[in-house]
Amino acid sequence: LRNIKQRFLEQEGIVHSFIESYKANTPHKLKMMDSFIAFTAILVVLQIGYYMIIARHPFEAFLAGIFTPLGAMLFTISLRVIINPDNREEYNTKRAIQAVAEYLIAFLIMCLCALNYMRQITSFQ
Amino acid sequence: MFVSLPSAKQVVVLRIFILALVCIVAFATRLFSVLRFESVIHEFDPYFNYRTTKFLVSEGIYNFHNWFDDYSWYPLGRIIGGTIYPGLMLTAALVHWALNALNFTVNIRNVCVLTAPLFASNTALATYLLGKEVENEKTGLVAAALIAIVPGYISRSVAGSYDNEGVAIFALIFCFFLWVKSVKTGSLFWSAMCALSYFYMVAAWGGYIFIINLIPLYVLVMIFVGRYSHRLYVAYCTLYVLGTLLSMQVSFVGFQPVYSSEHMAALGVFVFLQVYGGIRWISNVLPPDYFRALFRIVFLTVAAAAGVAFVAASVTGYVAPWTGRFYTLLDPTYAKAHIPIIASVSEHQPTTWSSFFFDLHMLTFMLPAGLYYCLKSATDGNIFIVMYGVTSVYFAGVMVRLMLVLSPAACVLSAIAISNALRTHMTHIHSPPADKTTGKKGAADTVVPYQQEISLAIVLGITALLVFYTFHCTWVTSEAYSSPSIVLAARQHDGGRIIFDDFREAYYWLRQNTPEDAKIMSWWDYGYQITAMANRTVIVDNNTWNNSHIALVGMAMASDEEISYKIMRSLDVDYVLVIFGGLVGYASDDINKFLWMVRIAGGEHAEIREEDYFTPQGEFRVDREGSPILLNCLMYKMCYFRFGSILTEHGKPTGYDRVRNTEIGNKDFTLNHLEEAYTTEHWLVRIYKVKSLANRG
Repeated sequence: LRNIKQRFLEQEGIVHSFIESYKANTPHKLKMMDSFIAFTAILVVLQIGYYMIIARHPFEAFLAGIFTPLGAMLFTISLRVIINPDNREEYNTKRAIQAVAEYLIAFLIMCLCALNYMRQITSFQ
Repeated sequence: MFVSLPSAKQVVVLRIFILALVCIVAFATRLFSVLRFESVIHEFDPYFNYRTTKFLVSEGIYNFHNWFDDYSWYPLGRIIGGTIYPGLMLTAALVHWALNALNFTVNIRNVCVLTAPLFASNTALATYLLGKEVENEKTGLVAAALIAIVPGYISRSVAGSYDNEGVAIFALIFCFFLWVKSVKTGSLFWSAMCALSYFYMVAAWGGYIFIINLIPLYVLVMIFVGRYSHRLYVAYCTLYVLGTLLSMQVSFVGFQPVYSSEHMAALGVFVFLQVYGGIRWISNVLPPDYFRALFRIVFLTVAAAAGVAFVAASVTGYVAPWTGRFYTLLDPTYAKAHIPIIASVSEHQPTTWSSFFFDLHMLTFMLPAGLYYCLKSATDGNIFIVMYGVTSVYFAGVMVRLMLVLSPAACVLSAIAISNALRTHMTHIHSPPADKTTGKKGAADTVVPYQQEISLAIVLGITALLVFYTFHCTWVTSEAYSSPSIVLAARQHDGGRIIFDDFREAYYWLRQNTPEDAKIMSWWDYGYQITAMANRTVIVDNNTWNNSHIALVGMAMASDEEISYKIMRSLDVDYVLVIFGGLVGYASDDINKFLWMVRIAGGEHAEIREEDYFTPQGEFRVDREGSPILLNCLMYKMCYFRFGSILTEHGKPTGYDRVRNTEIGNKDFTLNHLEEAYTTEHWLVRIYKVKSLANRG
C-alpha cells in the first residue's frame, strides 16, 4: 500500500514537472492552438456521451457529431506540427500562411460532409 | 528547332512527347474488338452498367440515386440506387454531358464503350506520376510505358468492357501517388487531395478495401522500421478522418467504415498512431527520467484498455466478422465448401503460374529485381511500393481477377529495376570508370575488364526484353482479351470467317415478339444482358444477392417437368431461355454450367442431390449411359428438344452433341408444359413459352 502511495506521489511530481516544462517551453501561439485542441477533445467525449445516454437514433447525427470535432482536433494538431519552430528541418519550405490555407481546405471538405449528413437527416420526414 | 533548345528544356519536351505517345498507344491497343466487330458492349456485367448509365443520362441524377428497379429479381425487385458503386456511371455521364455541351453529339453507347481506353491513358499518366514520386522521372516514364500495354490490365479495360475496374485502377494509382506525395511533403493539402481521390475510388469499385488496409499497414511498418515522422502523422490522420467521412457518403458503403471488420485495421492503426504520436510529444516536453516512469504506466493502461475494447467488440458482435467475398482472400478453400455462388465464378479461382507469365511477361522476373533496388536504398516512397508489390502478389495468387491489382505494382517495380540498370550501364558506356583514386579507404570501384562491352551487352539485352514484351502484349491483347463474347467468330476450313450473332438475335426477338410485361427465366449469367437488350423482366440476374431465389431457379432447371412447371407458375414465368452449344461446339453453354445449378439448388433444397445426376461410376454423361434423372430434367429437355433428329457432323449419328462429343441419350421426347418459341440460327439460344393451365380439368 505504501508502494502505491509512493507511486502516486511520483505521478504528481511527473505531472507537475510536465506542466512546468510545457508552460516554459511552448510559444504562445501554440498554446492557444492547444487550448482549442483540448476543447474539441472535450466535445468528442460529450458527443459520445450523448450518443450512449440520450439519443441514438439518427446515426448520421452521431457520425457528423463525432467526425467534425475529431477532424477539427486532428487538423489543428497537424497545423501545430507544421508551424512549430522545432520542426523546421522537416517543414522548411512551408510558409505559415500556406499551411493555414491548406488547413482551411481540409476543414472545408470535412464541413461539406457534415452538411451532407444534415441534409440527409432533414429529409427523413 | 528542338536541338536549339537548352538541354533542360529538351528533356521536358522529350518527356511530354513520350507521355503523349504512351497515352496514344494505351488507347489504341484496346481497340481491337471495335475494329474487328463493332462498337458494342462486351460480356455480362458491362450490360448492367450500360443500362444504369442510360437511365442516369435520361432520368437525371436524383432519380438515379433513388431508383428501384422492378425489371429484375421478379417478384422482389432491386434497389439499384443503394446497391451499386456509382463512380463509373457518373464518370461516363459526365463525359457524355461535356461532349454534348460542346455540341459533339456522341451516343451514350459509344461513350460507354470508349470509357475504359480513355481511362487507360489516364492510368498511364497516373503511373508516371507515381513512378516519379517513388523514384524519379525516368522511372516514371518507363512505368507509364509498361502499364500502357500490360495484359493484366488490358484484360479488364478493352474498348467495350465497360466495367468498374476500368475507372477504378486509375483512381487506385492516383490515390497511391497522392499518398506517397503527402507522406513525402507532410502537407495537409496533399492529404486532403488523397482523401478526395480515395472517395472517387470508393465510389468506383469495391476494391477500395485494399487501399484502406494497405495504407494503415504501411503506417505500422514505417513505425516499426523506425521511420516515424511528423509528416507520416499528418498524412495518415488527415486521410483517415476525411477518407472515412467521404467514403460514408456513398450509399452502398453506408456505415460500414465504422463497424465492419474490413475497416477496423484503419481505425486500430489510427488509435495506435495517436497514442504513439502523443507519447513522442510528451517525451519531447518532459525531462527524460520522469518520462520513463510515466511511460510504463501509461502504456500499460492504454494497451489494457484497447485489448478490453477489442474483446468486448468482438464478443458482442458489434464488429462483424469478415464477410464471404473478402474472407476467401485469406482462406481460399472457404468458398468452395460454404458459398458455391462465389466459388463458381471463374474469375475467383486461384491463379496458375502460366497466368502470371501470360499476364505480365517479363515483369514477372523484373519485379523481384525492382524489390532489390528499393530495399537497397529505402526511402518512404520505396517502402510503400515494396509493400504494395508484396501484398498484391499474394492476392493475385489467390484470385485470378486480382492480377489486375498486381499489374500496376509490377510495372512500377520493374520500371525501377530497368531504369536503374539502364542508367548505370549507359553511364558506363559513355564514360567507362577508369582507376578511381578517391582516397576513400576500401571504397575504390573495382574496375571490371571489358566494362564498356558488358554494359553495351546489358543495355542491348534490356532493349531486346522490352521489344519482346511489346510483341507479347500486343499478341495477347489481340488473341485473348479482345473478344466481345456477345458476338462469336470462328474460322471455317476454307479460311472464311463465320459470325455467331445468336445472342443479340434472341434478345431482339424477345424485345419484339413478347408482351412488355413478360417475365423471362434463365440462369443468372444472362440476366443483365436480357434486361439491357431485351428490355424484359428477369427472375434472377448477375447481382446474385439472393441465393434462395437463385436456388429456386436452379431447382426448376434441374427437376422433372411437372415440378418445374409448378415452380414456374409460382414465379409467373412466361418464357424460359437456355444457351445450348451442342450444334456449333460452343463450350460455355448451360449444360456445362449445369452442375453448378445443381450444387446451388442442392444447398437450399434437399431433394436435389448432386450424385443423382452422375452415372453410378461417377461420370457426368448425357448419352445413353447417363443418369436417368439428368436425362429427364427440364434443362436437358429444353436443350435437346428436336435435337435428336439433327445431323450435326458427317459420319456421326443424328443428335451428336459437339461439345460433349457424344450422341445424346434421350432423343424422342415431347414437352407437356412448354412450347418452343424461338431457336436462333445456330441453336445457341433457345426460348420456350410456358403454356398456361389447360382449359379443362
